[in-house]
Amino acid sequence: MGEYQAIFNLSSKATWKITPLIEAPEIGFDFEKWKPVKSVDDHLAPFAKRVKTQWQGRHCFVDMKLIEPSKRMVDGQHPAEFVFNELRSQDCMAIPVSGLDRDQQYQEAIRRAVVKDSRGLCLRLGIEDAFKTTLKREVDVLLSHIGLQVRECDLVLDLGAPNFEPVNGFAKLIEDAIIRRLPDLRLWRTFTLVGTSFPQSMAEVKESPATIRRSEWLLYTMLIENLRKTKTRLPAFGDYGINHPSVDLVDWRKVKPSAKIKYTADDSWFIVKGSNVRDNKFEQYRGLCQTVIDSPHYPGEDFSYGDKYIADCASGIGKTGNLTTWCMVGMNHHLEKVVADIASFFGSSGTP
Amino acid sequence: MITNERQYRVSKAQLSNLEKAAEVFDLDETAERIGSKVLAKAELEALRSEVEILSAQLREYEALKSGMVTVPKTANLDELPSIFIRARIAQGLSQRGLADKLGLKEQQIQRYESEEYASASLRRLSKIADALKLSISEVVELRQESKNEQSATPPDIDWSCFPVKEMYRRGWLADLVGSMASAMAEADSLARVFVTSVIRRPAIAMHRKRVRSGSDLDPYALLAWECRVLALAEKSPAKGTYTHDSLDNKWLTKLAQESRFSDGPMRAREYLDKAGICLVVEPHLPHTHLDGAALLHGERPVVGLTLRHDRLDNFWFVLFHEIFHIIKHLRKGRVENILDDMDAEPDEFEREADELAGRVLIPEKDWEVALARYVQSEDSVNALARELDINPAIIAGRIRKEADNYTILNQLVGKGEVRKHFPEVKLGW
Repeated sequence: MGEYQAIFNLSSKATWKITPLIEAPEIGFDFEKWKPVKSVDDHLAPFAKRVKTQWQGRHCFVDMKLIEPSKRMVDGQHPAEFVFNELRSQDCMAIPVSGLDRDQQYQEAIRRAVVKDSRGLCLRLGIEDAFKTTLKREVDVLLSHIGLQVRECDLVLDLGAPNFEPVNGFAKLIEDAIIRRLPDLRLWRTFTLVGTSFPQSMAEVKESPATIRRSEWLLYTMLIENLRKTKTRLPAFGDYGINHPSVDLVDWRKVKPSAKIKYTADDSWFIVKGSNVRDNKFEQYRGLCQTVIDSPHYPGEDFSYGDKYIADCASGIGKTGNLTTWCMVGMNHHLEKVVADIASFFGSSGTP
Repeated sequence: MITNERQYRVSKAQLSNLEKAAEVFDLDETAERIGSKVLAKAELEALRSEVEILSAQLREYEALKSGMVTVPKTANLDELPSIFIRARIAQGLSQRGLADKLGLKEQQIQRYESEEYASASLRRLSKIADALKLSISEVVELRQESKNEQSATPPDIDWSCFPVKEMYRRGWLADLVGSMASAMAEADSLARVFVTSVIRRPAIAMHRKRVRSGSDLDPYALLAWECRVLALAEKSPAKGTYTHDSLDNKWLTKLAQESRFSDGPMRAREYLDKAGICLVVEPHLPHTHLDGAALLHGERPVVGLTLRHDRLDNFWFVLFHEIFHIIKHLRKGRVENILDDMDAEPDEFEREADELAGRVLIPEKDWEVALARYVQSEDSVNALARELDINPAIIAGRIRKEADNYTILNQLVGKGEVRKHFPEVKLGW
């Protein structure tokens, strides 16, 4: 939810520079009854409407990979087909996402959506997929099944949450063994590199405030410098926001979430943690916000909606929010920050 | 051993970090996170043992600097380098101070100390002894003395301190005594016979070894284990003849490739045997958390392994670590310096052996751009193992070590794949 609202509160400048890749979330699990919280129908019913409310009619990628492949709607329809029909009826400009790791029924559902929408496809390649010697053949087979040319498709090279160290070795690997070998690199409609170094769990973050290397940004800038030298097509930058890609099903009865602000800085994540919010409530956020403001990473309250929220909370004017609010605040700052950093990194030469 | 102020400061900071980490270590939370209480405990143990090792090193350096301890005399030329280093510190001389006295560069002294004066000429050694006001003649005298006293019990060995009960239980004393009761009745003399039948001057042996250890290590248990390994090596000596030059890169690479086979550990033993190196497996004794040792039996090298962790990654890593001790450290002065690092920290033998072992198992140029290193998946590890012609366990072990995460790639590290190849070892594990 925080992500949706973060997008809603973006400046218009940032809005037009971002293409979100939205994953339909997986169905939650009820640990008390030991079964999924909702049927897939109930779970997916509000999805398209939410996308419309937050992102209106702008382009976005929509990926259904988190919905278990065996799930079907009550009438037997594939969830992906259902979702893209809904998005169409809401006038959303959704581009379906597929990959080499999806089953045939999924690909078939995507094919139908592609045929109806004529908006092409986003191919999301995992790093190990991209490394395969059979990559070109597999991509050709998939695209011809869907009935598309490479130039009608967007390519997302998704590193997930790998080990980034040593960054220069990793950059070399991606450049030589992957990007240079990608089939038809110049032809894809867009080309984006995605990855994250965001910690998987806040329990890993022992001290507060903590500064953690934002390795995907370091990797990206290093890679761009290298690729420029050889006039190779430059990828656009993408990340997972202030999240780790693997979401564990959490039994919220047993977890006491702590107050925290996940704040994106130049080359790092600046994480400020408090104590658990069940016992110690949200008033503690005022102090946490002050820590962010006092850090060298805070650009001022005018920087973004999220930064204003932080300033107001610290000064006592604003509210102390809830966990979803703080997720939104961090995400909103993150998106504005990344858009600004990309612009300044590429300067006048323009973004790829 | 800490040999200069910089190392002292670094070690001190390290110690305080480690102590803090050990203090805030939450056993329950860690156990829950990694899903095993045993592993969590092991993690804590490892942390504590590092704390102990570091504080022992710091204490030694502090004691030497304070002048509270006197540098011991030695009867053995092998100990000269360590005496030189200690004497320098005890006299409050920095490496630069000594260099200045001799008209040398500081780096030269650093280098000498890091390689234990292996490349120093006799004349240079004599000058250094002069500068440190050490009398070499005393060494010679002492040696004559100890020759006369060879049959006598060295004064600083307390024979009642050996873990005779455990030694008996493991059958080490089978040739010497009948029942456990009679063994315990004459424990002191049994220990003496057991030790002196392998090592002529145990008191010196006790001090001469270089142990990556903390203060809680029981030196008697260590010596007993060492003697046992040497005794086994004597019983079944290696068939081949050892020559130092034969352990070249080609030889090492071939040894690493033996790991591909399911009976790799056996093959390693045979391979070493042909090269004149005896590989002995003997579980560690209580209060000695050893993984392995590189020993000399006369002129012949012996590798002793405890197989404390029954995992392939550990087996191969420790094996290569010990082999590099043989190549680089046991026979000083005859090896070209493999690491061309002029700033190499003195006394980093352990780190050097670690690094060399890592590098020969997985060459740096491959490791830098290895997909497996970054994605850490089973498929990528297996693919790299095929490419390098080695066991995936070695790669999985390297990834776990670098990530400092011993919960990943569990299926690939070859758990339970080592000890079973040494069925003759029945007790101790």
